Amino acid sequence: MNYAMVENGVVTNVIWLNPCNACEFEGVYPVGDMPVAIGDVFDDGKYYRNGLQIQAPTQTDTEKLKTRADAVESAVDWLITTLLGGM
Amino acid sequence: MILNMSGGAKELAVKVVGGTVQPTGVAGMLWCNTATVIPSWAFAVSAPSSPATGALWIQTDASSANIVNLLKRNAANVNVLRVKQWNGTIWVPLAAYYHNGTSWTQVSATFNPQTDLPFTGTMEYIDDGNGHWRIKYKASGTLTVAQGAAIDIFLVGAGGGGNYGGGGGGLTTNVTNYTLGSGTYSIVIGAGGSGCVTPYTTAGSNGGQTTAFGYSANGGNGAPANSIYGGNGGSAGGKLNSGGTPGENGASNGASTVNATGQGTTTKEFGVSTATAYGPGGGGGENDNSADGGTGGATGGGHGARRYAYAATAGAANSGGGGGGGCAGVNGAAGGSGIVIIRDHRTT
Repeated sequence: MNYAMVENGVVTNVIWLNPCNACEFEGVYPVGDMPVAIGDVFDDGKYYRNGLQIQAPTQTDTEKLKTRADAVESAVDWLITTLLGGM
Repeated sequence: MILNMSGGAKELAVKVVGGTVQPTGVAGMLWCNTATVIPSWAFAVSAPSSPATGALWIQTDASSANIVNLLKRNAANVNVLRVKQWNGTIWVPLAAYYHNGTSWTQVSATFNPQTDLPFTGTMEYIDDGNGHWRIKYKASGTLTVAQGAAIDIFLVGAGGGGNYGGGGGGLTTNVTNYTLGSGTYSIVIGAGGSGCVTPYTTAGSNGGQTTAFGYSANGGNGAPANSIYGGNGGSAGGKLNSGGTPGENGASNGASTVNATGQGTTTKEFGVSTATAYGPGGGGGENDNSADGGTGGATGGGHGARRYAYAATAGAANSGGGGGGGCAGVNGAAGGSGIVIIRDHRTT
């Protein structure tokens, strides 16, 4: 999983590391699903960019696409049903 | 391995011989398989200082449970860990054999990368045949080197994340004929940069830096904000297209794309023309479902998204590949992690 390497409160690198090896590296903190990048600020267990706390994404792109596809499909179904039902 | 010197005064002496052909053995003989003349030798726990070229170090334990009471047992046991020869730069482990008057016993082996280079992270050993080998380090960890060796090193930074354009692939670094001495080394594998948080208005993140043995390879750039172009890197990311034109493919092997720059030199493993290329760019997105997203560069660049059809894909793990580009309403994908590869030093 991704870990941030932090020096003086600033993320200096984001590295790929197995959790069991995390103790071998000083100043590394787990990132989780958050889009943390080099240059972000780390303070009290939270990451910040431009003063705003970085949050984990709530929905993946695939999920977004599926949501949209489902909405389109529902709309088409409704139209067909309505049109056919009205004929 | 035990050198058992017993049964009489003459056998308490060790006779050290070199050569590449096994000699006729006599009790107390230590044969070291080497073509280099042996000017001197010494039993020692730690490496002798200021050795002459060819000097032998018969490395022993600091302490031993073996009995050395000569008066009572008329015997001395010496626990030999390894026999090494100074080549002028490093101590090179030799295959060595001890003769007890009856038969030969091997007491030392040549360098074995599978046993002499323990690593705490994730790694893969590859036997290339004819005594050649490679090791791929895929997750960060600590390398302990018990025996020195001359190696080549290849590092790849992580891929950048995509925005509308694909992320740039990780840059590569080649080091040849590095003298790997005994000790511990941190190997840091860069993580792939995240895809953009908000399509178009935020950039993809830069890939993490990969470091080992005092060398580094930077990550590729994320695809920039407020732009349709890909990120710079080892190989560049492709740009977003629309109107029936597929997203631009990510570049491979150090090449550039429209408005994004690759490193301009080969990204192939150790620079070998037939080897796998690392650090490919991510493909650009396609914005109106009239064509496909761009293909990621070889090998492992993420594929660009196609609007209303499919999302962008991430760069492959340990490829240093850039993440695929997104499109309107769809984020670019993350880059792939980097890698460190070492091999026995070769001239080609």
